[in-house]
Amino acid sequence: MLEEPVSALVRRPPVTIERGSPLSEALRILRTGRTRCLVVMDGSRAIGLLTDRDLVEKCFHEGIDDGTPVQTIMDSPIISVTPDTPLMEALRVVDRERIRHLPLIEADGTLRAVIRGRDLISYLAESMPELVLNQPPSTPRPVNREGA
Amino acid sequence: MPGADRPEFETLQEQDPWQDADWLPSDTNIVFPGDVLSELMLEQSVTTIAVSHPATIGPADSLQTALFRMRQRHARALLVVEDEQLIGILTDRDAVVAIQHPGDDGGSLAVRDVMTPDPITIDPDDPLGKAAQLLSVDGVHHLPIVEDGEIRGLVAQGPILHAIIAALIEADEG
Repeated sequence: MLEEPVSALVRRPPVTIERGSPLSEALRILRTGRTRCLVVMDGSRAIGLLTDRDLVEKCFHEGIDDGTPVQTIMDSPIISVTPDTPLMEALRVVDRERIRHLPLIEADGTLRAVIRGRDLISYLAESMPELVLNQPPSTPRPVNREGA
Repeated sequence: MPGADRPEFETLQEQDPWQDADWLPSDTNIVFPGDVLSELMLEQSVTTIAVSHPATIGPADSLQTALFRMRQRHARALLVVEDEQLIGILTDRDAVVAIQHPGDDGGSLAVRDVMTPDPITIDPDDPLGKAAQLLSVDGVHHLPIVEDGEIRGLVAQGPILHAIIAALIEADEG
């Protein structure tokens, strides 16, 4: 199972933002809860990530302007793998780089998805429930757990 | 993973390490790829990968103070404590949801109004497997460790994931 491509974990399309877009737009998207990680694009090329964490670390204080371009606070360069990378190898990258989000980018530069830490835990749980979590595949999905 | 010429999984029948895991369904059939992961998930306490003295904040403090503390401690979450009792958790997600402008410092908001109240907690005696189970629930990234009402630490999703990966790598190479 760990030999299958990491693309098997993809659950949703990536959410992107142009590098010159204002921070207010990034905050607006992140506040919707659609994602906690935006991929910053330079045209068709992914050049950075912007997460909740980045906003807390680098924004939310005086002197930051609504119009500040997202590229000024994004995490760059991106550490990524191709979608056909075997899952075990992708796990090694996540472990080695201590990253929470792993973009899947084709050899030609096309962004396919962003794998989250939760995707990895959930996938391992669903694929090997008796091994990792010892629970059935369907997990209760409580609401009102926005931040925890 | 072990080579294709031998079974990948071993089924435990005589000695069942899950037997004392009272949080598991009782009729579970247990298989695993060697001892490494089993030991990790069943026997290693959550405290081994926890922050033992997590950063805290009071409910009446401002979000501005909380944000400063999060940056200072490089913490993604603060435990909200009142009268030495855990009453909530405040994470970077809560801040992002609460703040409407990138330049807003959160000074006008109280932690109490922004935090996630009554967070899911875990016992210091619980194994890593239980933490992984709870953290696989959507929206939960941090688990305060509480024993007899006292805060003993904080477990986050990242260290759990890295512990699982490290065990998988060890099993793969072992």
